Amino acid sequence: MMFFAHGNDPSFLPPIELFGNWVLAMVTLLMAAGLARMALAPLFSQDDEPKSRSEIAGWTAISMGVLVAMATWITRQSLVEAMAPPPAPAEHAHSIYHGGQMVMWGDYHAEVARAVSGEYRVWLTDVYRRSISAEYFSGTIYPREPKSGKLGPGIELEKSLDNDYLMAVMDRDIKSVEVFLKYPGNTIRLDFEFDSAQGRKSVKEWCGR
Amino acid sequence: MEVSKFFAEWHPVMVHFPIALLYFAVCLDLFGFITRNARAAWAGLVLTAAGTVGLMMAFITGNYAEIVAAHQQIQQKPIGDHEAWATATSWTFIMLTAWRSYLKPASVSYRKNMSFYLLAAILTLGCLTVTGYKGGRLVYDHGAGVNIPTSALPHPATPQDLANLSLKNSWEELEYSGMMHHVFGWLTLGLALWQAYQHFQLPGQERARALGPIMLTGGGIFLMICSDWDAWPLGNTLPITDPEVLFHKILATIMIFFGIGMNLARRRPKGEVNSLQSHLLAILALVGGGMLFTHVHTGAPFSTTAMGVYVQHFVVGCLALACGGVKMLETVKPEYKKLWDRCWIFLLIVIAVNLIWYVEGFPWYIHNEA
Repeated sequence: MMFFAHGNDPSFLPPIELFGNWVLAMVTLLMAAGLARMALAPLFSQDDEPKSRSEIAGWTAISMGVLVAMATWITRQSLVEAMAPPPAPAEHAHSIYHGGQMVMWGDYHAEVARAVSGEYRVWLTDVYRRSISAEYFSGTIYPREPKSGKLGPGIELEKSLDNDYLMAVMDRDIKSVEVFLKYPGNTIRLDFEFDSAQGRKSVKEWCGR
Repeated sequence: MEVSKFFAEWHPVMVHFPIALLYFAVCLDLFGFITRNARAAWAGLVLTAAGTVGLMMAFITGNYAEIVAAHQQIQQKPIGDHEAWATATSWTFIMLTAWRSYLKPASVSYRKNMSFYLLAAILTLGCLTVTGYKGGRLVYDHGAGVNIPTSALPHPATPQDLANLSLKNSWEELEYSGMMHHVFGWLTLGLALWQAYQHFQLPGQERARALGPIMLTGGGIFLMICSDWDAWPLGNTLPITDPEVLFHKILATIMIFFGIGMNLARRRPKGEVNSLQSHLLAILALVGGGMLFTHVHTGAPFSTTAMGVYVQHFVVGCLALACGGVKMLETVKPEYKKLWDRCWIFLLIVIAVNLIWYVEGFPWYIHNEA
């Protein structure tokens, strides 16, 4: 599979960004060559003995080779990336990282986990399952009657200390909840049931990622 | 964030200079070309240089404006588009300015070369227009830099944008980057001491001349292989087109190139070798220093660490330009050669100290109120 990641962002670089970076690289290499040529020009006009002249020619060839090789490498890679077929629809990996339940909508993924102590945690991730900081979303958790769907009084979800997730502690007996999430541009309501025939079990203790 | 905001606020001020100056510069060049007016041609050259400096200032402040806009939760794709056009435009104008400086009305091939230059300049003005247009749309369509609440933005950030904003470098990545800066700090200190050794005419000059090229070429090869955490061998998961990797590899290439060049300089008559070697090193400082302004931290581009790194690269970039500039003054005022040489060595030591004490994040001399 052809996959071009850039830094920690796995999305493709658009052609214009590839072009901008290519121009930057080529101008730098050209300027390095041009300025060095100006400084070293007298060296080539000296009437040296043939041995010395061939040595100068050899070193010049090596240095120019370094520049040409780098320029070729950058150009080739830029062209390959620019002409690569558009990325296939992103694979929505639905692995569970925290022992909770996964939901997906649009390019968002959320995992909601419950501990036996009654603590609920909500993690939000993007299409590539990269973590979204709790600084950028908020929410409320409501106890929910499993059969009627009736909601009880909600509790505001709090940010964890490292902003990795949102959390709230509810009564130990509440195992069916509705999570209301607010994220840039939209909101969503998600229903979860733990420790029943349909839902996952509550975790005994939190495991790391 | 405060430091980024300070620089970002200058971006809308700076962008006007290159747009006005470069358009007028090309108009004057065109007028001078058609009417064979040497004074217009001279003014065109001066304005092209001034406009390109303005372009650089707009670019540097733009890097900070990008961070502030991303934290404002503006969509990152249109910001990336604007930046890509700005990169292509800025570096093409740098090349055009260098080209233009060689076009003298008195020379035989002036008219032929000038016509090609004007064609290239007019095309690049098109790129400048697109850059300005895209920057304007960022404000009018997306509300970049506009004082409105995030919830009122017309185009909310995508999940990928939010994940990019949430990125943080791992401890290993930061340690590795810090270590690489320290290695190159010691290398720069070595080069400064080597230059001082030659300046003070200490014994064994013949052998000492070989040291600089060895340090520079060796450093370049080391950087080529070890530049980035987890980036060797390069593959499809972190290719050379990654802006951060690209920057490191180009720097490595020009280090190797100038290392070989400095070795070639040893072929010059004995008295000139020292001067030529240090001039080549100064050119490297100018090119490398200029590149530092466009350095992108792709690991976690909008983190507080990245903001600090941009500030440090800006400072080292300015020092490198000052370094190269001082050495170039030697060609204008050769009677003060001793003074220029000492300033040059001093500035190299300052850069070395800056790199040896480098930490990933804000330097000790900047108080950033997060």
